[in-house]
Amino acid sequence: MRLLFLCQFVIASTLYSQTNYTLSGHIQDSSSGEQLIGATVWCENLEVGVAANLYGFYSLTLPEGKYNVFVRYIGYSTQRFEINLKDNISMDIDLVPGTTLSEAVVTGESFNKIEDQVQMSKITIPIDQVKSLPAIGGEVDLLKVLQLLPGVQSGGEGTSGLYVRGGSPDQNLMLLDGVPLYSVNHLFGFFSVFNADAVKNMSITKGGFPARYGGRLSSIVEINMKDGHMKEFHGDATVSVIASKLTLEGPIVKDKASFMISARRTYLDLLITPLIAATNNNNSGVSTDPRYFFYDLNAKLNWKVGKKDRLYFSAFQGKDDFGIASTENYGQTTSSLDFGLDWKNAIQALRWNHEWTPKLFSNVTLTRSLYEFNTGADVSETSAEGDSLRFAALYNSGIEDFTGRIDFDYAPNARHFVKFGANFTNHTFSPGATALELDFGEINAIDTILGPSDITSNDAFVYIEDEFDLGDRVKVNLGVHASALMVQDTSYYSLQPRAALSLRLPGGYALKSSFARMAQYVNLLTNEGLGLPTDLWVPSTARIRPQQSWQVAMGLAKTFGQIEVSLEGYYKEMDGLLSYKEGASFLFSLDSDWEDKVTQGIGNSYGAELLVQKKYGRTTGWIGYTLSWSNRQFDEINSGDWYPFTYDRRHDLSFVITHDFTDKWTGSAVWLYGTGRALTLSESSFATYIPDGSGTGTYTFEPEVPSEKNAYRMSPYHRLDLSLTRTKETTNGSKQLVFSIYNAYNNLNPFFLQTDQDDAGDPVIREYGIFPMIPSIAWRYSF
Amino acid sequence: MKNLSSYSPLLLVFLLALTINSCEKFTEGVVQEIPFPDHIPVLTATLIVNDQDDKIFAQISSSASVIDAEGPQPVQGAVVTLTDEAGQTLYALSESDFFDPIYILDLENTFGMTSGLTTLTVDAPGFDQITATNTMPSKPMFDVNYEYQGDSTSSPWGGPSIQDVYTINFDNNLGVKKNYLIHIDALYQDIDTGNEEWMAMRFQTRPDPRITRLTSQDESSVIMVSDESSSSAVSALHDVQILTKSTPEASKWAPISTRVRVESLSPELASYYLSVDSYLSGGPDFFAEPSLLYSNVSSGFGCFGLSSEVILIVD
Repeated sequence: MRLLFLCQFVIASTLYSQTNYTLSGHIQDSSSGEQLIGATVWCENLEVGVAANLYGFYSLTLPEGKYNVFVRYIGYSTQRFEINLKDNISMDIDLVPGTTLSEAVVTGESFNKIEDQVQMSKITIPIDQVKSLPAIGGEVDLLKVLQLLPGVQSGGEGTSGLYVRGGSPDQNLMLLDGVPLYSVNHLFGFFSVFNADAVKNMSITKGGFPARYGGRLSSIVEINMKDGHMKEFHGDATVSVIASKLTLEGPIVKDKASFMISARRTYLDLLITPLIAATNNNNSGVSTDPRYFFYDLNAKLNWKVGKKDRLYFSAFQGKDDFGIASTENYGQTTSSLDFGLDWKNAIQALRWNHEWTPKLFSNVTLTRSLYEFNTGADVSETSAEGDSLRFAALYNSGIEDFTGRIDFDYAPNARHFVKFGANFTNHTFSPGATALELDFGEINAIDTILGPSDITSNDAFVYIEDEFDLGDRVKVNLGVHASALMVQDTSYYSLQPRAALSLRLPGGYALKSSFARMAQYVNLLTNEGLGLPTDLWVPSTARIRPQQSWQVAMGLAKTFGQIEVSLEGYYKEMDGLLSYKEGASFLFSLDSDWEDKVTQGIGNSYGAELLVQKKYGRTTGWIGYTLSWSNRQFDEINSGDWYPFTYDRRHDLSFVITHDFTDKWTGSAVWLYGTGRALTLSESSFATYIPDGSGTGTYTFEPEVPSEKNAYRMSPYHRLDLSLTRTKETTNGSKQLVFSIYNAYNNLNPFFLQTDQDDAGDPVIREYGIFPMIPSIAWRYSF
Repeated sequence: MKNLSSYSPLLLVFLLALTINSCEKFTEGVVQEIPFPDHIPVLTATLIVNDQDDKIFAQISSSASVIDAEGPQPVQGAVVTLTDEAGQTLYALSESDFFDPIYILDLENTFGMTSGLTTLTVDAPGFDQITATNTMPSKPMFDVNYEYQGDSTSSPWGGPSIQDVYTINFDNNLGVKKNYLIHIDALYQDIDTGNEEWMAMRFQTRPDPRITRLTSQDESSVIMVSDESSSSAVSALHDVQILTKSTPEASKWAPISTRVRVESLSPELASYYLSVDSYLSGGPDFFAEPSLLYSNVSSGFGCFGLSSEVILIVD
């Protein structure tokens, strides 16, 4: 019914806009041709405006007349021009970048300030600001920057997992150029797969989800790769103590087609090779060869096919490879062990933008997303007589998606912006199979595969949303997202209404509220804590119902000069949450049915978030504070009682500041504090039994009794990171030397606990940390 | 500020000092020590009985802190009472029934069926009284179909695997959650002496969401069948299949017949068995959350569970 109403509304809007004309086109960087996502076009006379979409396209329909128009974007000089609108005008607008994000570049009253937007709970961080922040090992990590925002928490010391408003990591839809990415971790979660040099734009939406988004309960993280320089060949090279990376971009045909390619690789394996060789030389009988590296590769092609069409092809591939090969030769017998653990991500996306009319823009996307995890061991022994024994086991899991999607942007007039579209995804899940090979000489050789077979599922959704004004003070975004899942002869359907409202109050404040219902058809089976590659992506099945949530949020927003302030409160309920049962994990069970090891439950989270953010000027940064509660209830965990979620964090505070001292020197500092992680400890033991089955005896044992689930807390987490960047301009480009200190006051934060004895021999629980103060240096060269 | 670069040597010295200090801290690695919380011992009780049992076992102990080297201790002077719904004492165990570390009461007959709520009460000097209640479930109703060498598959370890098939069909009490524990025993005869003995048989099952394999009780191969997910159909608990090897494990013993024992469990006892299984089969898993044993005893430690049993002999 609601869909019908919105369709009628769209048609009616079209009919009544006959005397209007449309100003449309793309907004781009004048020097590189890079599309500027979110740049605003503002009609001063009518006090209406529009923001460019993900592809830099804007469309503003106004009545016939003469208007003053302003085009603005952070870090760029504002353009002001007059138009005489007596026909549709197609106009691409070039904005000139400022040399820094200084006050002089963006001036005066801007459109699309936080109080002008209906959307709440969305935060965008300029990528230049991200790059100037301190980073562990000098390797800038986008997800770790997101962890500094209110409502977003990390999984633990140094890890990249995101826990948004009490949700778990699988509830975040990580979109790289519109393609879902399933594993975002390198180095067991200590780094994310996103290479900051290849990224143009990053945002996170924590609530008030517009109807175009779906498939996850807690957040949408959108990361867009650079399109590639349309005019000149450019590059960036970075060398840090962890990894090196190289980014190249330039025109294939000037102003028509461009490319961008960025590669990154660690070299821990190369650095330790001489040490390993020396060790092996000292021990003639034993040879050990450990290995670890990760790499990732981002590439993008961008082609303006015509005035109304544009094609993009983007690809990403990343891989981690960890293992150890060992050979021992004692006299007559040679034995060898080869253990390996590797995981990889690959995505490809082909997108076609088309401008049907000045008011109607579409984007068609075809994507493939692949995640694979493999681990295994191969053990063999060979005697002098040539007899050999061999045992090999290889466990693998993964997920592969093929998706087709179409999105339309329709702007019937200056006060309505309609988006609608559809999506279809085919998933193939491989939830863990073990290949066994045994060869014991005279005994029959075995070569078999154990474990669950692949599961195929199809999900689809359609959506429509309209952002419109109700008078001068009220803006509304109404929409509906309808989705379906077909799996194992079972179908699930979900109708998800979405609503957001912004009311302008006296004094320039905006009172915002939102409601969103969400559904999720894929789940990550994970043991809380490390972002282990053993985490298993599994679908909703006939036995596992989909995850669902609803969230309401309300907040106040206002811009004070250059400082945006927002205060939000939220309440979220979740159903169908998936967890390992007590005592179960991925260990000891790689070949058994995962559905038997999991249980489903419900959860809620609520809290308040304050964000004070300054995006431009010599000094930029933000202060974020979160007060929150997050709870879970599973019938088969904690005796069915409610308990605090592991990442229930009462207080979370972060200060982030970057300051340009001079044109050469930039300093930045990050300080964060968080309530300690909740955990369960064994407290006591008692004697009990089970009958021995014959009725004549008992089997007695003394189980340890854990505390109430998550009744204890680790010590609070706090840390200060500092960095200082020296920039030197040369005739061919610029060089940067970045000094950074992770954990500057050397506070060892807890990572895990262990039962131990103190100096007096009394048992204690010890918290252990892994990251002390870590200084690092990185060198960048841009040309 | 323009001369900031002139401070570079100082900056390097500062970084070096921090690094040395950092390495020292990294070697130690300890953030802080947390003393274990104090534990006040409480009375714990486990009493599980079947209507066919001719003995009652009661494990009465005091709980202990996990850092107590002596661990939980049996409580010797306890009085354990089972009363019916009217408050009449059914059975009582006292110090004279204590055979360290457990109380054992030999019954003249079998425990028998009880109706209504049965209450367990335990009193012991120095402890608060603890209680628990349970209702004995009705007798299981089922039939068994036995097929000699009815299943033949390829073993992953090479060669064929030939097994006998027991197909059990339960009556489904619609709308009532039922949990059944199934054992299969074989009656073996010692070829030399002629002595006969029932022994638990190892068996396998096919993947079936109604079946939970209790691996902690693997010595006797026990499965639990639950109708929780399928109680809406009369035939929902039909065709529960169990596969056993026909071949005796020791040549000295000759198999004579087999029997199927089915226990109908109270919901509390089923929860306890599942939690015990989860606890005992979990192993030393660093990544798993600790298991919590189900308890229906007022102190929070132990279980009072009743079950009723039916045995069918299979020729």
